[in-house]
Amino acid sequence: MKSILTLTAKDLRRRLASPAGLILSLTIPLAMGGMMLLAFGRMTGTGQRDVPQLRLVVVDQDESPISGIITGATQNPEAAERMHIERAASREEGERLLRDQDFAALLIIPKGFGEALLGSQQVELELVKNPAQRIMPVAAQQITEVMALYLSGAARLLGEDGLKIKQLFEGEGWQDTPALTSLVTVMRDRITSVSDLLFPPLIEVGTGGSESDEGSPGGFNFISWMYPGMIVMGLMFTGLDQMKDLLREREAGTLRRQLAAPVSARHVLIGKVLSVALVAAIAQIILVVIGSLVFRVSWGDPLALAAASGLIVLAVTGFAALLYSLVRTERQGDAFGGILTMVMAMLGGAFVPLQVMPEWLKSVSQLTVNHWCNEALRSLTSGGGWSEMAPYLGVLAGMGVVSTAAGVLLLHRRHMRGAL
Amino acid sequence: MRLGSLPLVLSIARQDLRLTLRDRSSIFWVFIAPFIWVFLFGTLTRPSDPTKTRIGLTVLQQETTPMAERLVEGLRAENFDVKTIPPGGSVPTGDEAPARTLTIPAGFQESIAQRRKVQLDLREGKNANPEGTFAVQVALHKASVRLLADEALGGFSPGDDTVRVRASYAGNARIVPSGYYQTIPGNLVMFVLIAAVTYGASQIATERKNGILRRLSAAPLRKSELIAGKLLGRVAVALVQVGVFLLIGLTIFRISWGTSPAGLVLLLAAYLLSAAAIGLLGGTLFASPDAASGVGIVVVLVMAAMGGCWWPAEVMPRWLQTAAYIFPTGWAMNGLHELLSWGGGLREVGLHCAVLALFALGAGALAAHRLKPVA
Amino acid sequence: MSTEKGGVPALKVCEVRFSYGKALAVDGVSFEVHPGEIFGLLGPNGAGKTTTISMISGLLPPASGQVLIFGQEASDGSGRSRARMGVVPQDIALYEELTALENLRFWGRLYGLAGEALEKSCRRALEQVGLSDRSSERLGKFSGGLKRRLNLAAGLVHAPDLLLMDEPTVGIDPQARLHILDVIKGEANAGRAVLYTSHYLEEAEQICDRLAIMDHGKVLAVGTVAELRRLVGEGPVLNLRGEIQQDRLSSLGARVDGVSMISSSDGVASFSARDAAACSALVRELFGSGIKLEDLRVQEPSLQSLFLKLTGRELRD
Repeated sequence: MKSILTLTAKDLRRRLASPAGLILSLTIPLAMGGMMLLAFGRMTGTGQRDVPQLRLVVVDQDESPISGIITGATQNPEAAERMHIERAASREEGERLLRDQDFAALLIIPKGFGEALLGSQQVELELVKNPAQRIMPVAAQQITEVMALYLSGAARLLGEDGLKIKQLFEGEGWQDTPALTSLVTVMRDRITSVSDLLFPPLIEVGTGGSESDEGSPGGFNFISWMYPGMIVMGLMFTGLDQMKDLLREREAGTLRRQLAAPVSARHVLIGKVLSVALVAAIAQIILVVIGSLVFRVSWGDPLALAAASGLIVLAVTGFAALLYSLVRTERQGDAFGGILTMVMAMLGGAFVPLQVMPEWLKSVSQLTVNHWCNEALRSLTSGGGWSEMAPYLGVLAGMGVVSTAAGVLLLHRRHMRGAL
Repeated sequence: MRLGSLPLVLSIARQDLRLTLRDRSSIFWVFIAPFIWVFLFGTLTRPSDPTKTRIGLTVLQQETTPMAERLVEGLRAENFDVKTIPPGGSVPTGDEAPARTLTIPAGFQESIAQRRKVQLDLREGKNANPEGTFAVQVALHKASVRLLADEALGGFSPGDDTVRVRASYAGNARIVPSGYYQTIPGNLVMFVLIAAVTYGASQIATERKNGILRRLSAAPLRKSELIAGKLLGRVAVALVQVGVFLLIGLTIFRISWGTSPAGLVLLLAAYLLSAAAIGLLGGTLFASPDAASGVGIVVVLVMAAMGGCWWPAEVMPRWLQTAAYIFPTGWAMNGLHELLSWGGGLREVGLHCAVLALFALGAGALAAHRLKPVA
Repeated sequence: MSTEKGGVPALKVCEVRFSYGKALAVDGVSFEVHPGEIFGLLGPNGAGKTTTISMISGLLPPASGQVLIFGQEASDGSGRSRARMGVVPQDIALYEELTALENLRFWGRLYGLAGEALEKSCRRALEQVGLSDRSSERLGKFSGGLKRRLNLAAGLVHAPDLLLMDEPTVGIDPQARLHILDVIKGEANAGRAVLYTSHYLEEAEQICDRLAIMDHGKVLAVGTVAELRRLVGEGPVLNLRGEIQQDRLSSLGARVDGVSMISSSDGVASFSARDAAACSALVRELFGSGIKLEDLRVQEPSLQSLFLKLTGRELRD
């Protein structure tokens, strides 16, 4: 036991004396997390993800009072928060803006639009989408379709009286006061009849949970979802780097020297694996604290967090031990370890929610350490406790014990063959 | 450089290429790992257009009045894949929990009849695809507005719509960057840079450490020839890598690489040069190979994310989208979008090629200035 | 610590064999090392020295044969035998991130030292190799020579009874080498047994009491330096270089009494002579034969010439 502690203390001392490798292992996931946060997690104070501003170019070929109402509506203060609208004089100019200034879409109000609308004739709004963008053009299309729905409703509401309004816009009929009064009355009555249903719409969609609670159930908190995946990835890089030290020591001759000392090979290996676990535990603490202070992640019950963290460290240590029991050189370890970590991070749901995966990939995901580590932590960040976490902890404990034991045994067997 | 430079430069380049191709782990990282990544990401992110996909929605009906049923039909018409739970039922939890649940409350029809506000409760589970959130909210809004308009106007079905939307894509390519169209160009740009910066930089640091750089400097070789040879070696590796990407993209993932081979070749050549020069520069900044590749990978990841290799650039804040142009990855991705998505040609990517060449020149010059044969 | 020669040998290697796959690396090697003596194991690269050392230090189990350290099996798994042994490997097998003192503390602990005894032993070892004033410096800052000295200190820290030294002076300057050799002699004088492997013949001749010459996994000769030299011959050795034809040389050697050919190949040859007179007679024959000579040296019998006689090639090949 004493020799194991001596060996472990030696490795810890070395790692703390030269922490560059540990810092680098932590920097990768923090950098990725930071980038994802910058891109997706606008801090509205709740960690809720905000929708990016929609950039739209509008070409009004109609230039009628009706099209004027449309373009005016897109520039009211509330819409301006969500949309950036640019007017273009022509289709060509609009397409140029689309391409050169990364607008999501170009909306073209065709000539005769107002007339057709007032005459209850079918008319099309043309939407030209930016082919280099994936998401915002689709959002532009959806918003345009909503607008088309409202316009169709308005046309329906106006009915045959739309033609009379058209004449008024053309400057005719203003002198016929009784007709005008009758029209105004009819319009008022119709609008009144629908306004209590539609202005604003009686049906609202609530998104559940309190907006002021971070990580509250019922709402998708991007940071709380994303950060656990980054932590686990960081721990895996850390564990692998620390375990690689076994091969570095072989190269430097210190492993041979230790094996020539009056300590058993098993103790040397256990000491090394224990140092991996301790360094991973240090990394875990650092990442959890950074999560709380910088990313404002709420971890829930500290005891539950400690239990989850301990088993995650065990699972990650086991993965590192098993990998390095199978590779022969540092380069192999770097190559396989790196790609395995990234692939398992992806499959485990670090970058993409499990819900969007095809069924077969969801099954594959359950074979990864990352899946169980991520779910254990996410059950905490989404407000769960011991009962939510328990199934994940059980699997992690099993994975950790089996892989650690297998790793040590395989390494010992390799030593017995003289191939360590 | 002198007349006899070319054979010397080619010797160095050939040697570097040979060393890289003989190293099994670099083969793995340079050629195999990118495609595993592309396949996984591509599979996970397609299809991505919610208007073409049915989004799953579980509707908990606390009443089954005609109006509630009409709303459910309206949701189906908005392309939701609707599963209903009748009154008295409960929403599954745990692994069976749906991504999104909408509750139609009891008293729904009566509230509308009485002209009272009614709220539908939408809950998203922790694994709900965030990309679908906005689409879901818009579609719910449309369905509920149509229902209310139908009620107000005495009938308002989609067939009654006066105004329709005709949507199309600009440009000549007619291809949407979803799924593999997003991941393959993005991963090409990222993995070429990873190979150049990690292996390229660490190779320089290793050669400095084991004395090879000193030996090369003592040979009848000018510094410019050495730099050119090292650059060309990295470009050669990257060329092989890009060639494999293009081939696999065409044959296995069946994407089209645009209509301008000249534009594609020029853009990629300029990018490869800039990546090689950055890799060389990285090798001059760090004494240890581990530090060179470790720091290098972090820098590459940041450049890849900022440049739009991982996700569509348009979802980032505007300032970040602009900041992407600080990096060669931003220019490369934008150029590839010009070619692949817009169907552009040489003229459209001319500026991109020039800027990337400037990156190459700047990084290369700095690397030449900093390169020391001993630590 | 035993201070007498004789009695139980500190190290006894009996007919050990080891193969790497089909390649036989060590083939029936036997020798003993006694307390207070420096025993050299000489041979070119690939002779089997390091494999022999690995078996002695318990890293490799012999395929057959026995290794006994103070009468105990080296590979019995208990580690007891290893506790009395100190290893100074060819690699600088120390930690660059740690200071000199931290390195020694670690190795001392592994060998069972603790507390005050550990501190004392570390300081003593540092003093022995002349590094007391650099105890708090990180190993990464040391020159190659200083690292070698600390490497030696790490093998001595627990005051072992048997020292295994595998090429301990490779790649260092003459001053550092002399210092290390002095320390080793001091250890032997204090009664420790030292097994010293090297391919530097002059160094081995300088400090070893007894030597074994190894090649291709076998021990070719064992004895004191004087005994091994006598295997070459009592008298001087003539080394020739020139336009030499083998058959002419053979007949020439046969004509001169008291002379025997050690070796010959294109352009070089060696003869051993019984005494100075026989040597002179050979020289007269050579000059009279018309053989064009470029170089002719007369030397005392050496281990180099012994190796040449035993293997037909130089130790430097």
